[in-house]
Amino acid sequence: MKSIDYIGEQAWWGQLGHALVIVAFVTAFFSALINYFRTKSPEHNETWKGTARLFFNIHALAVVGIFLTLLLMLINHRFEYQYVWQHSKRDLSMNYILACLWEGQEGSTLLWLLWHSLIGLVLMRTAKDWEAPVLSVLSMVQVFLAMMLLGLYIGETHIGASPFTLIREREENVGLPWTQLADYLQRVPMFKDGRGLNPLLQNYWMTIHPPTLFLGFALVTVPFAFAVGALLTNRLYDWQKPALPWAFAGVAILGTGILMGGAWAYESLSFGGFWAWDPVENASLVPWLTLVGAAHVMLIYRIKGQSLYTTFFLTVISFLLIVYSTFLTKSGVLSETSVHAFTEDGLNQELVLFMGFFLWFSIVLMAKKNWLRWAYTGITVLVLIMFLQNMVAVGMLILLLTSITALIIGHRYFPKEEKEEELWSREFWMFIGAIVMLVASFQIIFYTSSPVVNKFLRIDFLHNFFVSMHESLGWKWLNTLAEARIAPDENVVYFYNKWQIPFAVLVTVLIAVTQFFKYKKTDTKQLRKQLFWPFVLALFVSGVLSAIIYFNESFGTLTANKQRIILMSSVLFFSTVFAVLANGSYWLSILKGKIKSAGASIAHIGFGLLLLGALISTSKKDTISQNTSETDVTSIAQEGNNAENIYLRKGDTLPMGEYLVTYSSRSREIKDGTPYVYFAVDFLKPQETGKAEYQFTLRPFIQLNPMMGNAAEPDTRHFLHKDIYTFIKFVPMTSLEDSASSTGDQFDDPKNYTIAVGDTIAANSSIAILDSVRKVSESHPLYKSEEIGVSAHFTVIDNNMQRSNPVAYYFVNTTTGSTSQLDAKDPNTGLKLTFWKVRPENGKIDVYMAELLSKKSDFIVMEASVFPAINILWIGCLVMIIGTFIALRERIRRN
Amino acid sequence: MKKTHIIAIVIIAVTIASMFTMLNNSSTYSDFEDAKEADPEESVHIAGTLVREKPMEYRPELDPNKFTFYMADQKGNQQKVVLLKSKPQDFERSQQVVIIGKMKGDHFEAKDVLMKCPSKYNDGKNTAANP
Repeated sequence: MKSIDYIGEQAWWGQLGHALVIVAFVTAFFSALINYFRTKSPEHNETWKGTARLFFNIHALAVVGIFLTLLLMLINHRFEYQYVWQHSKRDLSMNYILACLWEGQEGSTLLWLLWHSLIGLVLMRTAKDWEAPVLSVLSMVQVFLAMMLLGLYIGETHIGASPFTLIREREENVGLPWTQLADYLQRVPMFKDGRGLNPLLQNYWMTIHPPTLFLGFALVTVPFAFAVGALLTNRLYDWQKPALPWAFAGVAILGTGILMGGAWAYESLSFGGFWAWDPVENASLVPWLTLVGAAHVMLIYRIKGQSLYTTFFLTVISFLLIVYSTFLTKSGVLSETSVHAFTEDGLNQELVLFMGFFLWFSIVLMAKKNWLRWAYTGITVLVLIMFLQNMVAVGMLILLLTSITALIIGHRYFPKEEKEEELWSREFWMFIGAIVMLVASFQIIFYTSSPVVNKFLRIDFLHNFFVSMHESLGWKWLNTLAEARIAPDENVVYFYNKWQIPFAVLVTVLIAVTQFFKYKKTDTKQLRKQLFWPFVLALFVSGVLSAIIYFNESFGTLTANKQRIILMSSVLFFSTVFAVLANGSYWLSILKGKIKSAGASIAHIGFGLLLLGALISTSKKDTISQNTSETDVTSIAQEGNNAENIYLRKGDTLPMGEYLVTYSSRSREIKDGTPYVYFAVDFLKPQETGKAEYQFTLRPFIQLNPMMGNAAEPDTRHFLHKDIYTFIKFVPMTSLEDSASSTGDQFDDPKNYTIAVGDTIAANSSIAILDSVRKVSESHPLYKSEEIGVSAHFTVIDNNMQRSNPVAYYFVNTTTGSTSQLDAKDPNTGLKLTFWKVRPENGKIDVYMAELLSKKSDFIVMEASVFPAINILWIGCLVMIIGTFIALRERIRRN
Repeated sequence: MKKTHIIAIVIIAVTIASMFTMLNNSSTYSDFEDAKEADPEESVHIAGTLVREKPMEYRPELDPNKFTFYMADQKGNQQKVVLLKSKPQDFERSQQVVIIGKMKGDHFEAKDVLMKCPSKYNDGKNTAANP
C-alpha cells in the first residue's frame, strides 16, 4: 500500500509525544533498576549515584515534556489527534485548557506521573540516605504508569493507551474509507472542530479538583516508597521519621481534594447534596481513612516505638487502595452502580498488573521467611498464567485469598515489640483509633466492591457450589450468592450512614479523650478531672440541641428506621461536640493557647466540626418542595409517594415551606457555545398584613448538553445558618428550545371535543367555556348570501383569571354543500378553536382545540431542600486543613 | 489473652457482620418474573430497556411525582412501571434503565431509577467511526 501524504496533518507532535513517553518509560525502568542495585549493594551506592540521578532527571524532564506537548497540542487545536479532538474545541475558553488535558483517562494518568516526577525531584534532594530505596520504589510505580500511556502493539495485545494517537490510526477507524482521503481533515466536516470538553465539567472545579486529588494520591506513594524501601534494606526502625511529614501532607492534600469534590457536587451538580456515597467518592475516601490511620501509628512509633507492624501494614494498604480505587473507577467495573465512573476503556489488564505487582512485592517483602516468599510467589506466577488465559476473576480471587493468608502467616515472623502498650496510655488509644478507621474503610470498600464480588461469584465453581448449597439448605442469601446478583441497598445513603455512624462515634470519642492521655502511663484521676468539664458541657449542649432538633413532636410520626438513625445521630451529635470541646480545652489549658504546637488539636476540632455539620445538614435536610398544585385536579398522590417535587406554572404563586414561590421568567444564554436555560424562581415571605414580601430569586438552570444530554444544575441561597438549594427536575421540551426560531407560531396536535352550550374544555394553561351558538345574521360583516353561517362564542380564562371572548365561525355553502371555517384565536393564551361540525340531532357542536406550543404549559418541576448548618461543615473543612498544615510545618521544622 | 488478639477478633467480627448484612440487607438484581414472586417487603433492582413503542405518561400538573412507562427486562418481558418521582430529563434517550422497587398488582412500583445514556462522560469512539 502506498503511503498517503495527508494534508494539514502535523504528525511530528504525535511522534514527539510518543518518543517522550518511551523515554519516560525506559528511564523510569533504569532508574528503578539502578536504584534497586544501589539499595541492595550499599558498597556501590555512591558510585552509581550520579547515573541513577541522571536517569531520574531525564525521566522527570520527559514527563514534563509529555505534559507540555499535550498542552500545546490542545492550545493549537491539533484535531487530527483523537485526544485533542475528543476533549477540546476551538471556541472553548483558554481557562479550560487544563481541564481538557485531564478530562480523559490518559490525561489523568499523566497528571499522576507528573506529580510523582516532581515529588521524586524533591526526594532526591531531601531523602539523604533513603534516596536509593525510595526512588527505586517510586520509579517502579512510574514504570507502570508510563506503561499505561505507551499505546504499543505487540502482536494482538496492546499495552496502554496513548494520548498521541491520530484519529485515523485508532483501531476502530483503521480501514474506514475516509482514512484513505489525503484531505480528510478538510473534507470530513466533523474534524473541523473538536467535540469539546463536556460542558458539565466546564467550571473552575474541574481545573483545581483533579490536580489536588492526584497530588494527594501521589503523596501517598511516598510513605509507601519509604516502607518498601525499609523492607528492602531491612531498616525497619527508622523510616517512619522521614516519611511522617509526607504522610501528613498526604492527609491534608488528599483530604482537600476529596472535600473539593464534595463542594463541587454540592455547588454545581444536582446530586442533591455534598456526599452521595457514590462508588467513585468512596474510592478516594477509603485510602484517606487508612492514610490517617497510617500517619497516626507512625506518630506512635516515632515517639514510643510501638505498633511497628501496623505502620507497615497501613502505609502499604493505603497505597494499594489507591491503585485499587483507580482500578474501580477506570476499568468500568463499577458502571452498573456509579453515575460517574469512566466507561470501559480496555485498561483493565494494565491496572490489574499494576495492582498485582505491588501487592505481590509488598507481601513478599513483609513475609520475612523464604519458604513463605517462594510459596506466595509460586501462586502469584500461577495467577499470572491464569490471567494470560483470560481467567481474570478466578485469578484475582485466588491472589486475594493467598495474599490475606500470606499476610497472616507473615505477621508471625515479623519483628515485634517486647511489651504491649499500657491500657492507660496515649499510644494504645491512638492505635485503637487507627484500627477503627481501618475497619470503617473495610466496610466501605467491601460494599463498594459489590460489582467485583458479583464477578467473583460468576466463576463456575463458586456458582455451582452456592447453587448446590442453596438447594440443600434453602437459605435465601445463598441464592443471592449463587445468582451473583448483589445490588446496592435501595437507599445507599441510609445504608452507609447506618454503618458509618457508630464508627464515627468511636473515632470522635477517641479524638476527644486521647490527647489527654500521656504516652506510657496516665494518672486516671487527673484525666477524669481534665475531661470532666468538656464532657458535661458537651452532654448539656448536645442534649438540649438534639432535644430541639430531633426529639420534637415529629419524632413519633417517623418510621422505625428513621427513628433508629436519629437516635444514632443524637449519640454522634454528642460525641462530635465532645471532641470539639475537649480539643479546644486541651489547646487552651494544656497548650496554653499556643498555635505552633496546636496543629493536632486544631485539626481535630476541624474534623469534629466537619462531622457535626455533615450530621446536622444531612439528618435535618428538609425537602420543602411538595406538590401543592392540586387545585384543578382529582388525582391524589399515591401511598408511598415521596412527594419531593413542586409543580409550578409560569406566573403561579404557591406555598413552599415558609415561603411563597413564583416561577417568574425563563431566559436563554449561550456560554462557550453551550446554551443554558435559566428559570427564575422568586421567593416571597407572607407577612402579617396578608401581603407577601419579596425576598430573593434563585435561578436553577439546565445546560443543554449535546454530549451528555441536558443537565440540571442547582442554584443555592446561602444564609448563615442554612442553605436553600433548588434544582430543576423536569421542564417541557418546548421551554428548552430556542423559542424565537423553532416553535414561535406552531400549535400542538388539535384535539376534538363534542360540546354543548355551557360545557367547559380544558387546555394546559387555560379553560374555554362555550357560551352560545348563534346564526350569522344579515347585518354581520362576514355574512354572504350563498352561505349559512354559525358562530360559536367562547369565554377563555387563563391561569391569572384573565378573560377573553373569541368567536369561531362555521359556514356551509347552500349550493355546493362545501364548508369552511374561521378559527377563534386567543392571543393571550395561545388557544386556537376550530368549529367544524354542527350536530342538529342533539344541539352539540364539534370543536378542535389546539394550543400554541410556545404558550402551552410553560412550567417547571422543581426540587427544593433546606440544608441547615451546612456552614459548620465548610468551616470544619477549613479548620481541619489549616490544623493539619500547622502540624506539618511543625514536624518539618523539628526534623 | 493479649490485647492484639481481642482487637483481631473484633475486626474479624465486624468484617463478617458487614459481609453478612450486605448479603442479607442489600437488594438484588432481578427480573419481572422473579419480582412477582419476591417477598413484597423487599425491593429489587431490575435492569432493562425502555419500550419506546408503548406510551409514556407524565402529567406534572396532576402529579409531578408520578411517571408511567413500559420497560422490558433482560429476558424481554415487558411490564408497566410507575415511577414515584419526576420524569428524568432525557428519559427517551436512555440506553439502559435500572429500576428499584417492587411489584404492586399489575405494575411495578419504582422508588428510583438509574439510567445510562449513550454518551456519558467518555465516548466519541463509535461516532468517530462513521462521520
